[in-house]
This record gives sequence, C-alpha cells and structure tokens, in this order.
Amino acid sequence: MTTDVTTEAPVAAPAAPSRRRVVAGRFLASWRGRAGLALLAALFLLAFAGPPAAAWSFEDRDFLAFLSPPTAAHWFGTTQSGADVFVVTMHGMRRSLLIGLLVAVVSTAVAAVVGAFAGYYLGWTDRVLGWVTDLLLVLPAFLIIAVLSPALGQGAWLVMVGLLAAFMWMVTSKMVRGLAVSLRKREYVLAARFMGVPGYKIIFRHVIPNMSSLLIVDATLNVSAAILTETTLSYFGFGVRPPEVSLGGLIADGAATALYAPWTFWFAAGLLILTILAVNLAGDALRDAFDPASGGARR
Amino acid sequence: MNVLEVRDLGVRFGEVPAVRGLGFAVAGGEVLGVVGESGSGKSAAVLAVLGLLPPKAVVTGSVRLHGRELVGAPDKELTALRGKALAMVFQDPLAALTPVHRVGAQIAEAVRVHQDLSRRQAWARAVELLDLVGIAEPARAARAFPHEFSGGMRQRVMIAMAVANDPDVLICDEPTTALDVTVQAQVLEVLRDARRETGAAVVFVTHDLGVVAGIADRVLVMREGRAVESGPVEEVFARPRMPYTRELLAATPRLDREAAVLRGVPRPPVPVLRVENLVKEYRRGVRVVDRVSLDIRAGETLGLVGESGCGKTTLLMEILGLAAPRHGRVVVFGRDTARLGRRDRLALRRDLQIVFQDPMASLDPRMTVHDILAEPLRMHRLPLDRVPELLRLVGLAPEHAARYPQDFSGGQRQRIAIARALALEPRLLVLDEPVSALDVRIRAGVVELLAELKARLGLAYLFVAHDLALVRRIADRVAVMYLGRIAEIGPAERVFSAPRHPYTRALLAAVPLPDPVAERARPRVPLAGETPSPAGPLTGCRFRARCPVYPGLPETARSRCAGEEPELEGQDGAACHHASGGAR
Ligand code: SF4
Repeated sequence: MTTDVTTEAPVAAPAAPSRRRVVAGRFLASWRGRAGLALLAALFLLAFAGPPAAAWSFEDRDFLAFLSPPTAAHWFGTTQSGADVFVVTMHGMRRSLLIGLLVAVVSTAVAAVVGAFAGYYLGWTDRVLGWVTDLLLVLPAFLIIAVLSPALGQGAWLVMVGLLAAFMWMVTSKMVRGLAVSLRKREYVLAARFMGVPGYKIIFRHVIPNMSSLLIVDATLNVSAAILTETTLSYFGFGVRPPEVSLGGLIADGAATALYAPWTFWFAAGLLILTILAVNLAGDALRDAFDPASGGARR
Repeated sequence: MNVLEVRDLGVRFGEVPAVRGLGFAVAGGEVLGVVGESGSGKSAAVLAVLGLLPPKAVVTGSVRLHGRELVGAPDKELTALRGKALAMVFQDPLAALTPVHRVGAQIAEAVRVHQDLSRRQAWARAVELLDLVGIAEPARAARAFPHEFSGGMRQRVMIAMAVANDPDVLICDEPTTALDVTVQAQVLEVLRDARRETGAAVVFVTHDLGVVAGIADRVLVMREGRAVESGPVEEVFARPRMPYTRELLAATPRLDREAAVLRGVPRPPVPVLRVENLVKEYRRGVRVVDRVSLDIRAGETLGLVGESGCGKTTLLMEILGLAAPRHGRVVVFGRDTARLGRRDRLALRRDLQIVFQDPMASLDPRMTVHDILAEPLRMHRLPLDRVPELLRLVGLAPEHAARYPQDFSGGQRQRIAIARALALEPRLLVLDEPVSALDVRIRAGVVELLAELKARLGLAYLFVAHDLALVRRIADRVAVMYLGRIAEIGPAERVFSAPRHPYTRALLAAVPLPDPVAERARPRVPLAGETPSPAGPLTGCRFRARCPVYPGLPETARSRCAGEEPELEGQDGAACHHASGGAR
C-alpha cells in the first residue's frame, strides 16, 4: 500500500523543522541575499561607526576650508559653510535609513493586518475598515504633514515616521484585502477552520504568511518611497528639521552647488542609490526565500 | 494509409528527457488512444507533434504528416498547418477561447484564417459547425460570449473550431477530463460524429482507461516517456502483455463488477451524523441545498454522488461549519448544532474532520509537514510527539516532517492531509473527492489506506465523489444528489444493481467501462442537457427537463411530474413519481 512513498532522503536536516530557519537558509544561499545584506550592513556600519572615526564632528566648521574638494582631512570635501561632507552625509544617511526602514515596516504591517482582517471576516469588519482606508486615501497627505510638521518639536522624527507610515498603507491594504478574500476559501484555511482554529490565528498563521511575497515586495518599494517622500518634504523644509538632517535634505542642499562642487551632491545621491539598491536586492532574495515555489527549480 | 507517422520521437527539457524513442502511426478515420499517468510524457509528445513546445525544449526524431517532415520545419509552415491539417482540442476550453469575443466570431475567425470566405459566409459556416457539435439554437448561441457557456458547451465549441477546416489529424489532449460524466458522454459522442464527418485521424490522449476503451481503435500505453505497450484496444485490454498495463487495468475500478474493499463490519446502528431537511439559500429563493436529509451510522461509509453544481460541496460546508442552519437540523454525535456553545463546538470538531480533493491546495505551502500536523494538536492542546506516529500511520517516514508539501508527490501529499485529519482521532471523516486528483495506481493505494484506517480505527466516512465506480468499491450506502436535492438513496448494492431514479440510471450508463467489448456493446443514450441553475423556477420534478422517462409517459403521469415535487421517503428509495426497478 505504500507504493508511492519515495525512498529519497529528506532534503533538510530533520532537526528542528522551523520555517524561520529554512527561510534564513534559503535567503543566505542566494547571491542577492548575501549582496543586499552585506551592502545594507556596510551602509549601517558606515552611518553609525563612520562619524566617530572621522576627525570632525557634526557641529564642527572648518573655517580654513570652505567648499574644499575631497582631501585627506575632509574625505568627502566640505560645504560652503565649512562643514565636513562625510560626517554630515553619514548623519543624514542614519536618519534616512531609519526612517525608510521603519516607515516601510510599519506601513506594510498595518496594511497586512487591516487588509487581512477586512478580507477574511468581510461583513461589518470589512465595511468599517474600508471606510477608514478610503478616508485616509482621500486626505491630502502631503499637505497634512506639511501643516503638522512645524508643530513637531526637536527629535520628533519618530512622529514623522508615524505620519509617513499612516499615509502609505492604504493601497497595499486594498490589495491585501483582495488576496485575503481569495485565500479564505483555500482548502488549508478551511481545514484550519474545521479543526477549530480561531479566525485571528488563521489570519496570522495562514493568510498573512501566504502573502509574504507581496508584502515584502511592497515593503521594499515603501522603503524607497518613504525615503523619497521624506526627501521631498525636506526639500520644502517640512521634513526632518535642522539641526537634524536626512539624506533628502542634503541632496536638496547640495543640488544648489552640484555644478561647481559636485562632492556636495554626489556623495549623498550615490549613497541614496546604494541604499535603495541594497534594500531591493535583499527584498528580492527574501521573497524567493519565503516562497518555496518561486526560487527553486524543484516542483 | 497512415496520415501521421511518428518515429523515434524524443523531447528533452534541458537535461531532463520527457519523451524517449516514441513511435506510432495513425491512419485516416482511426482513433489512437494514448494512455498514461501524469508525468508519462503523453502531453509533451502531442505538443511536440503540434510543434507547440516552448523553445527551450529539444525535439528529436521524426514526425511526418502525409510524408512531410514536421520536426525542424520552419515556424511559418507549422502555423499554416496548425488549425488546418492539424487541429487540436485541449482540456481547458476556457483558456483557449478569448473572453471578449463572441463564440461565433471566434469560429468564423478560425475558418477565415485558412479558407477564402467572406465574413458572412464564415459566420454561416460557424453556425453550421455549432449545429454539428450539437449546440441547441446555433444561430443564437453563436452570438454568445464564452463565459455564458458551460464547460461542456465550451468543449463543443472547441471541437467545432477544430473541425472547421476539415483537418487530417485531430489531436485531443484530455478533452473530457474536466467534465462531469454525463457531459463527458455527450462530448465523446460529438467527437465520434466529428471523426465520422471529417474522416480525420484522431490522437486521443487521456489518463482514463474507460474513455479509451469506448473511443479508441488502438491504444498506446506510455510510461516515463516511453511506449510500454501498443496494439488494438480489444487486444490490449483483454490480454495485456506488459506488467505495467496489467497494473493499470487492475487499479482502474470497474462499475460492472466491483468488489467492495471498504464495506464496514456490521455494527449497531448508532448515528454519528444526522441531517434533517437542511436548506441552504444563497439569495432569496435560490436554494443550493434543498431539504436534504441523510444519516451516517458509526463505522459506515456513505457515498455522496453528484455532478458539479448539485450542491454537494455546499452541503459539506454546512455540515462542517457546525453552525445553526436557517432551516432544518444538523445533529452530530447526538448534538444539535443549533444548541452548541463555543466550547462544545470546538470539542465537537475533534470528532469531525475533513480531507479535501486537491492535496496541494489543502496543505499550507509555507508550512513544513511537522507544522501542518502539529496545528490541530496544538489547537486542542495535545502532545506534539504524535506527529511521527501519524506519519507512520499513513505510510510515510517520520523524517519527512522537515519537508514542505511541495517536496512530495500527489499521493504522498494526500497521505499527509489524511494524517492531519486523523491527528484529532475523529470518529467521522468527510472525504471530499479524496483521490480524484491522483493517478489511478496511486489512487488504489490511497483507497486501500482509507480502508485499512477505517477497519483499524472504526471510522465513519462521508465519501463525496463523482467517480461512481470508486464509490461502488467503497461505500456501504449511496446518496445521489441532483440540483440541491437527494434523488436517490439506499444501500450501495441496491443502488448500483437496481437503480430506481432515472437520473441514477443515466449516471451509471454514462460511466465508461474499461473494457472495449462491453463498453461498445452497451446502448449509448447520453443524457441530454446539463444541470440547470438552481435559480430557475422550480415546480414539480426538477429533473423533468432532462428526464429520459418523462417524454414517454402518458399525459396524466406527466402532469404529475410537472405539478408535484417527488419526495424521498426514508433512507432507501428514489425521489421520483415513476420510480421503477429499472424499467429502461
Ligand atoms: S418524477 Fe417524473 S420527471 Fe421526475 S424523474 Fe421521475 S419520471 Fe422523471
């Protein structure tokens, strides 16, 4: 009666068959995952360990070198006011990285939860959540952040993260809802229901994990979107407020002198591109690692 | 005179050979049945003949149509041949029809590509072709869009398109696999007509030995890319030479002589499930399940049979939901679901579990087998060390727990699904088409497993299937559903040997027998039409429109069918005013 039982050995080590370990293994097995992770780690390291290693601090002004090109003393050159571009850029990158990642994680999480609950339960839950989503969708986000931003005190960048995230999850949540509507009829969801697993557990165990590809791609896109939105806000003076800086603000500042002092612009711009590249590589690899069918040749 | 000659055909996808050294020939007007399980390379072989494989596939050998070599022929030449000299019918007609164009326009298009006809002439030809494939009111049907058609109608349209240009070779790849038995019988009839009209050589690919027995002149049995055996159907079915062919034939259940493997040992009739007058309405007046009553006793298997749209899935969901129904009663293990508290309901779920049809869809692809089997145990706070035991119970190795469902074959996945259902030690297992997604030999293995488990654990099964031969092998009692109602119910022995309801009789007649002699000797009276929508006005007997008995009845008897809905009495009988012991 066991004619179709194959004799091949199991692929994974039989020790602890946890999903997380398998996903991590797959993630690290792909070059994208390794490259993206290494690049991100390098950027974080640079952003946090770089400034202390430099001879200058964030507040220092070198009155002997205004707008100096990169030299041994000023690795990235200086600005018009004599600030060290390396140190300033690293500070900006720190903020941008944190804002981008946090906003992406928060907004995607909100989108996943709201969309999945709406799509799984339907009925009243769906209607109420739908109203909230639509309401936020029609509010002019940029204007609201611009109006609220002066009211924020110093070091309020976390509030900024909240605001950015609050206006970013709606479209994804609508997609998530659609997927959840189709997933709730899947047989493994029905099977879980018929064994008595309550709805909220089914959502977190079966519905959301089975959308992880979408969510990760979305989170990746959101990182760049968050950084770019914040850039735009900073450009108009509504973003992270001085003395805090972000990559966005620096790019805006540097754009003025970019033509005759390219170092004021290109280092910030280049690091922005690298950041987004790293996040995208890691996002791709993570998606493949989550989805056993999308990466491997095995069927 | 051979129209199509294939010699030493090989297909490789990268390093993986799909077809090796395959050879066959078909003459005009002849039907060659190509049989094989999934992965046997039968589909790759016909796609290679059609030149429809993706570019990364390497095709070697020779395919000659009227002596003209097709392998390596320029694409343009092949495109000119395809649809004209070489026509095809695939399994999924919906994928082959453009949703935004009228059916008639699509057929006319197929005609005009290869024939010099005016628009009007082509349209007229399209209507003619629809008539040929037996579509009622062809002129009106031509103006419809594909989604307005049922699966069977769409397959007829595909056949109309295929024969539009009088092809020399007609290639059918599992054309009836997605259809209900009665519709399958109709479509096979249409294919027979089409072959007669066009005199084409037909290559008919299928996994169903019964279908081949009915339609093919010669058979080619394929396995792992090679031809295992070939010859005239009667020969191969009566005296198979190769062990593989014998194994296939032995694994195919036969409706006419089926020994029960799953019959229960007689037990005291303790009802584990009782459904009384259950109704499920979707919109007001649209009853998908209408006053259904049945019961299952401990250790018994009730086979629930019906075609798609008969409401059997809805009925299952109603039972498994354990919620209070709007009308009627569901009593599970003596407890009325209308009077269940939250806690009781959870406790009751332990006794009632389900195995779904498609094991790929019923196992969360992102969980390891361990997590899948642990889920019900965790939910009900049972020790997780039962997981290895469960795997052993269904014939898998405990080491398999670390893998994902997609690392397993279909049969193994279904075993995992069964293991999960058994994790809570239920007393009633609902089996929703548990083997219809599996290959026939693997099917036999899973059925055997189910029989063994039933005997060992004293389970009761509610076994839903459309494969009547399989139900005959498994069930103690059978219920036949039609359009939301139970048409007939009774002991399996009685229902299969002396069916009372005209619908049951038609269903049984539509199942092809895997025996060419017996199959061809049977009178062919395919049931007309398809299951109508439950939204239509229903007065009198709902089977009236398709009933083969009704038209021949005297006036007074007919008016009774039209005016009064037949009711089912008790647990052995048929819902028909003129039920007979097999008067036809
Ligand atoms: S009641 Fe009349 S119409 Fe209905 S199945 Fe019986 S004979 Fe046919």
